[in-house]
Amino acid sequence: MFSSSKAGLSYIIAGIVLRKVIVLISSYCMPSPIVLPQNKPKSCFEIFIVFTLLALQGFGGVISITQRILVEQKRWISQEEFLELFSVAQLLPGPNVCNLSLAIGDRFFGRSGAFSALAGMMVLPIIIVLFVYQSYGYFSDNELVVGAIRGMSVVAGGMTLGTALRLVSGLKSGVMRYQLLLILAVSVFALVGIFRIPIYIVILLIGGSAVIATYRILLRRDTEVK
Amino acid sequence: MSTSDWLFLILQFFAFSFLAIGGAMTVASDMHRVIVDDMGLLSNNEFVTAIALGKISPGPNVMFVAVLGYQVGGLFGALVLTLAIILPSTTLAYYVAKWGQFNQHRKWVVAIKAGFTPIVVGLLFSTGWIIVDGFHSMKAWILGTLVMLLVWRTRVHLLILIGLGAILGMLGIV
Repeated sequence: MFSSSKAGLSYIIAGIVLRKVIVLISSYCMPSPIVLPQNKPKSCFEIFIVFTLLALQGFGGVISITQRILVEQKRWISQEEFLELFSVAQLLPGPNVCNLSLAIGDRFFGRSGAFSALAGMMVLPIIIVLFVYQSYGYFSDNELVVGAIRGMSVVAGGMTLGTALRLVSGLKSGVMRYQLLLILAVSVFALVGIFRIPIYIVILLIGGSAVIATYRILLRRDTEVK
Repeated sequence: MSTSDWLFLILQFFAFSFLAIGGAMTVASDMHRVIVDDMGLLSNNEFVTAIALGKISPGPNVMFVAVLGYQVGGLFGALVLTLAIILPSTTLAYYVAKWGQFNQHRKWVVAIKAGFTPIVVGLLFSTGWIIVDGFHSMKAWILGTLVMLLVWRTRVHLLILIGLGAILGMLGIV
């Protein structure tokens, strides 16, 4: 009697644990909702803190974590807005993520918001990288550390690929047809990623013609309305 | 290093800042030319170390410039060179963004924003591709593709993936 109730209890506990594990796993595997209500940061200080946290989580590229947190968790901006701001940030010279932080901070609190975001992105990472440099002599020969860095870099590359695919959903609101936008994106990838043609040439040629085509569509729409 | 050397270096970095379309890493070879080849301030090895540290430490990749500055002139150098590479481009970006918002309903502005979105997606995918491809290994491609699918289709926490990568790397699997 005693042993069977003990067995029953352990079955129940095992069941509860299993359920928790399944819920935990499935909560990670949920596809992201596409349209979400928008939130806003409360203060410049909150912007500074959030961007510091973004920078600290960004190994080998901050863009993946920025998209994940600002668009999907904090919901400060929509996927489309993120893509727009990021495209301006990438077209202009300078570190993309810094330009992007600036534009997002500016959107909420003007100049001081922009400054807070940029400061959040830079201050702690500079201190950390200098500390890492100071201690680099001790671990540069360590096989474990070198291996870990290698594995992390591969993951960072994969994360960048995944983020790019996630941003494809933001293309739908464009002026041009979705299929055409996809073809443009793929051809940019082929030129830059595979054939390693300098970025500015690709931006000038493909980007330029895409802008002109979009402009002409907008013009035509205008005359049709009139 | 003399004051005129510093001024020269700062002006060079101002120029690089305006030229760095696609990120600070795109002008790394020009920095190498100035700092290592022309001015002889650092050895090739020191320069490469800075690039590697910029890649592995958290935050934007541009942090490698802080390391370069630190190697050349301590904390002062780190601060000066970082500001020199950041300030010109961010000032430009700030005013362009302002201008764009002010004129956001003009057709040209709409066309530029909408026209460039597919380019940006393509460029981002290229960045990831170049990173993974740089390892020249089938295992790196398998792990990279797996991570890509997870990030694309699920909401796995990104730090979990980074940690997993570190463990796989330590075990020598990747």
